[in-house]
Amino acid sequence: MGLLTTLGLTIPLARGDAKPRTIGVDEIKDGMKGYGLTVFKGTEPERFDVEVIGVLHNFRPSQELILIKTPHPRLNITRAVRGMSGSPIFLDGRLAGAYSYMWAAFGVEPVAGVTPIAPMLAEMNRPIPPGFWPIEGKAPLPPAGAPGGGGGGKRPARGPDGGTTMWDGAPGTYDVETHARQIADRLGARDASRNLIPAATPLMLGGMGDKATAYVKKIFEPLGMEPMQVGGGNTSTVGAPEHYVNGGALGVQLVSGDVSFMGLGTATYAEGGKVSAFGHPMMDAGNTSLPATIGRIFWIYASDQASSKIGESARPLGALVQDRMSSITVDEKVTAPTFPVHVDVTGVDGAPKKTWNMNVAEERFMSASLAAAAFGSVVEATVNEKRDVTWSLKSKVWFRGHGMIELEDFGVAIGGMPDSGDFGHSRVARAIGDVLNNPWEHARVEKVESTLAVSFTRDLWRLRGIELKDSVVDAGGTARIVLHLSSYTGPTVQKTIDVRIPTELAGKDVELEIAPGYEVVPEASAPESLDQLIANETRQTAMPKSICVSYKLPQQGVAFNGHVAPRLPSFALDTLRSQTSDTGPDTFTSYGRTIVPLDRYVEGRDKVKVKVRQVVR
Amino acid sequence: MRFLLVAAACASLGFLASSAHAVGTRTFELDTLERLSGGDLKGVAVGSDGVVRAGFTLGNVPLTDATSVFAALTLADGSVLLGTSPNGKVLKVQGDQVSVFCDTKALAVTSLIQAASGIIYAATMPEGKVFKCTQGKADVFVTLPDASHVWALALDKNKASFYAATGPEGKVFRVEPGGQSSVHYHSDEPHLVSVAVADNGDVYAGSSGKGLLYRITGPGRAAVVYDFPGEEVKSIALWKGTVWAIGNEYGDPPEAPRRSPAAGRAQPGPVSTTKAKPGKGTLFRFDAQGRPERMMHHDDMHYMTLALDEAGVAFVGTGAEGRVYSVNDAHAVTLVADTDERQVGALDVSAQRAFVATSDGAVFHRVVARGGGDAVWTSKVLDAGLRAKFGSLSWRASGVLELSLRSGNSAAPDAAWSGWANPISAPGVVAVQPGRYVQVRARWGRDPKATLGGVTLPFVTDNVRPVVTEVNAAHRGSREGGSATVPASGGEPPKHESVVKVSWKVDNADNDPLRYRVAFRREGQTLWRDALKTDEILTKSEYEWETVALPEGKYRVRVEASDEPSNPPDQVQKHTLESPLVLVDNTPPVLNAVTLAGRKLKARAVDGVGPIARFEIAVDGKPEWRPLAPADGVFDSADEALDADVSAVVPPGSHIVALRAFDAAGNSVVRELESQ
Repeated sequence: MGLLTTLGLTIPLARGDAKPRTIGVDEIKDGMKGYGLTVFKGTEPERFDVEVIGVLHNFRPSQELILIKTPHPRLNITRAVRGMSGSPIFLDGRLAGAYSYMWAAFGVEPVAGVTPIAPMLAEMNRPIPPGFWPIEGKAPLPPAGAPGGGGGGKRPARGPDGGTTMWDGAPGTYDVETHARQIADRLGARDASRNLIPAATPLMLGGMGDKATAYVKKIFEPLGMEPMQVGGGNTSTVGAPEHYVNGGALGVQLVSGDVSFMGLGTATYAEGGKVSAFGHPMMDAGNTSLPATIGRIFWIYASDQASSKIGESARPLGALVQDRMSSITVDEKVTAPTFPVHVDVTGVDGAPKKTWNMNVAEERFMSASLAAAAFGSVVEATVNEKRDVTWSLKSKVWFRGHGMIELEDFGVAIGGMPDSGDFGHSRVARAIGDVLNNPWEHARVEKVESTLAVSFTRDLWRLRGIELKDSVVDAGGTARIVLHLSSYTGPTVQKTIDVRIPTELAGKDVELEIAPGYEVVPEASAPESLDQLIANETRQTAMPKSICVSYKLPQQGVAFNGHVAPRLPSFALDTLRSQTSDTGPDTFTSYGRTIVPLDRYVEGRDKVKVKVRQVVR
Repeated sequence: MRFLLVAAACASLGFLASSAHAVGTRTFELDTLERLSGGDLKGVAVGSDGVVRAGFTLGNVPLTDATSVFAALTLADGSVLLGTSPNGKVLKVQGDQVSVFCDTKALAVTSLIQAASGIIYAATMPEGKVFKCTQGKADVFVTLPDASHVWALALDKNKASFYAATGPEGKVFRVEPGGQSSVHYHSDEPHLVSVAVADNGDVYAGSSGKGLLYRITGPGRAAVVYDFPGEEVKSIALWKGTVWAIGNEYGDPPEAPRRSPAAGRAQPGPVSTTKAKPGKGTLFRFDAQGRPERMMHHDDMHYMTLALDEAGVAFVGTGAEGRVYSVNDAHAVTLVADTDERQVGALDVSAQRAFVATSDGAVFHRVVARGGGDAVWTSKVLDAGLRAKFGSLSWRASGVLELSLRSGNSAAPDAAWSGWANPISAPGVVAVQPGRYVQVRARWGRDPKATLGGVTLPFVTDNVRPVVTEVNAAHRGSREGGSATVPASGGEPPKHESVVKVSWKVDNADNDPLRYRVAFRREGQTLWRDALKTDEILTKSEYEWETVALPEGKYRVRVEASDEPSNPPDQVQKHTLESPLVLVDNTPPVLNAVTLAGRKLKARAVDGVGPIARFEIAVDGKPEWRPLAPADGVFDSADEALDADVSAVVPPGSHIVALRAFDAAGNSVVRELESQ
């Protein structure tokens, strides 16, 4: 900051304007007066008065904070306002910084903190590392094929900047809520002892129900964002500016379409197609790539707890490319990756909307959580009935260069559909999170197409009990098991299943374990590549609508590099398991499994023992 | 090549003959296959007759991209294809150059064959595929139905079709040159892991499960030739009407490591490398009439590979220790190669292109020579237990050999060891520095056809003082480690025993014979008195000391250990250690002032050493003794009073009441009274 001040750097007031000088923190005195720019309504910035209270030195590492009062008829009521983050503050006619910090809650005065402009400008000029993967478009990326370019050759295993939003977990174990906790811990946003906090980025939610909103709050609030159920999403560019302007509303469009999420703030300084904004991080993600939009403000909602701007997207433009401690940077010339999510709902007669289309930002944390929230919104809007529901969400997910996989989430819900939180644990959300956070290559989600099939029945068999027809069976013969299955309203039915008992179990007492197919996890090899990870996503369980009889086999198996080799003879197991290398196949206990498809999901487990007789001919 | 380390002194005892020379001299005797093995064999073989003679000299070509070799195929140009795991590659070895011939991307290439047409087939697991391989290309030739694993291939006698032994359904498939497959035989076994085709077209297949060797004479027609001990028939070889097969016995496999819930889905980490226990291997030969003959057996290692040379001599590669043994018609077993690796995965013993391919690690050892002037035999490291001086090295040989020694004080030869001393070509003393460990080396440079046997090396270790580390003295029959002399109230009364069992432990680093002397003294006295008879020589580390004639009191026992039986008087080393106090009490206590007024029983028991350990009464001669507490509640002195209400024990009326008192040594006295 000091360097920039000393050099007397000048910057334009707005796009195309003459460049005013900046004012350094050491020149700022108590009582200095000036003005700020922000949008109170519409898209045009308006002035508001400011008066310096003082300067907090070393408020953040190597960063001061200027405290100001904002006497203004509206701000006297609203006091500190979420969404004003980034509003440029001018003192002595020079740009001093960005309105950015506020007292945690219940402030009774219009007082705010201002991030000095110098570090913001420094961040604005920070280059995007060569080959940084998510952004599509030419500048500022080197052309494909150039050294370090994003278009060819072996790409780095992870983005050059690990960033706050990286998933700290083994591939294949992704979980949205765990990921959110990791990010919150990194941000320190849960530190209740902090009084002066970044003016939270209001997250404008459109097309979402209460449960979905609650889920989004649970995930995003600890990250410094304030979800607000306000609507929006159907962008109209009529009357919207063509470019970002100083003090203009700036949004980060995480989801658009039938469901929308938009983080809202204010542009501090625009120059040459780049915009510095917010005056604080959004998620401190470092290099990132999220769709940006010019915002339109409807109103500043006044609240004793925390006032906030309410607005929507006016014109999608560029991408958020830097999310840093002192500011975010938007580049108008690049496009952030997004992927379409299409959901068809079947089985709900009379539902007002059965087809949903959304565009979800592709980001390693956001995508999975946003997709889960979007699914939850669809369910809430379409199947929000307090009845027993049997549902399945069959999804096709396309990953660029790795084909398409089909995943099925399902359930029988008694008294109403699951909500977004449940969809956070869905296979489709986990697959998106797993793939985008894989450690091998930069993955891209191309699209998601899902069909939510709903029937208002309790389509469930409960395993009432089992009956073993023969307690002693011949090796190589068949054990007959009668399942007693009861349903919610119908009669108990019996189903006989035959389980072939291998000859190698002769002379043994064998425990047969009966379990629903969706609880049976088939063996898989630990993924060594993205292809293997994606393949494993489809092998999470046996057939969902089935019953599975499992028994332990004497032989063991190995799994390695995408291969699963059960029931190995001793010599092969011995040879495959190297004693001089610990990077080879992993051993597992082999199970014999008989899977019997059923017309419904099954609930309940049971066990039975059978004696296997040696056959003497 | 390996040096099998002998770390513990006791392990070296197997080499020791009984002392036949000067006092303290012992001898390493290397005169059997086992004793001559375990070191480094270069160009030599060790026979079960205890003779070292010409054997394989192995080259060494490490195989990258593989940890195991499952199969090999020698091509007409002398290059060798190797089927490997865990990346399913077929590697080509030409000279010392290794390249990838083709990549099946399976987990393992388990078998390789070449049809008369030149087509190379590679069997793989786990997806039941057979590939057609050419340089740089592997195309799926056939996927066998219901077969996850293809374990072995064998060409039909027409050299165009082939048979595939598979699992886990225990099937042999016949596969035609066009890729059509049919089940040739379906066994009751889970896996058929070996297959061979006889000149008459009969197919032999070995199973994993019960370890059965089948002869399949046509589709669906088979008979069991032999039920092997153990679980599997790993490999089959045919020669002039005889059938050779190796079988293994593993026992129950160890439990698979418990997998984490994310196993198989999370990114892999290091895999547990729990050492598998080797199985037992057996080689059988079946004559033309199918009569079995056990040719070779190892209890400590299973067999992986079997090959026959042009003369029909069988060679077996092991699944542990990485060795190759041969066995002849006379059942003479010879260790012909001992590699550094764990397993021999493939083997060719033909005269011109022999090789040994190993697993864990994967190394291709071409047999570059058999015997010759470069042949060297090096013994395993021999452990004398202590620093030793070495005597005259001797051996039996047919021909001229040069033998040498080197020594050191670490179990593994390192830079601190001496260099190899100047060799000798006739038995004699080798100038090698004293050391705990020693190795013997023989070179065949002067006579490549020589044989070596009966290597002996006398040695004398430093005489180290024996140290008695622990002396225990307790009455015979007393409970170990418990409060035997103070029984719990209400417990069993102590039993008197006059014999004190004295036992001790000795740290005798040089393992020389010891003599012990036992003495005792009463507490407060200074003179030690011999417990042994005058002419008694005690060499066991225990002694039963009879105390019946001793006055009662507390005693200590002293044990002296001396190595005088094996050392000259001026070199004898001794050490003594005393026991804790032991009570000697062979006199019963005295009961005084015994009265029974009503049901109030009073008495006083006095013992010379004490303490009094128990009062008890019995009524009317019934053998049910009921304990009583002393007047002060604690048995803590040699003089205890009794003042007890026995109405709960003695019923109303007239009864004979017996009162008994014990001292801690189990001596007892009884007094009888009559109750009114």
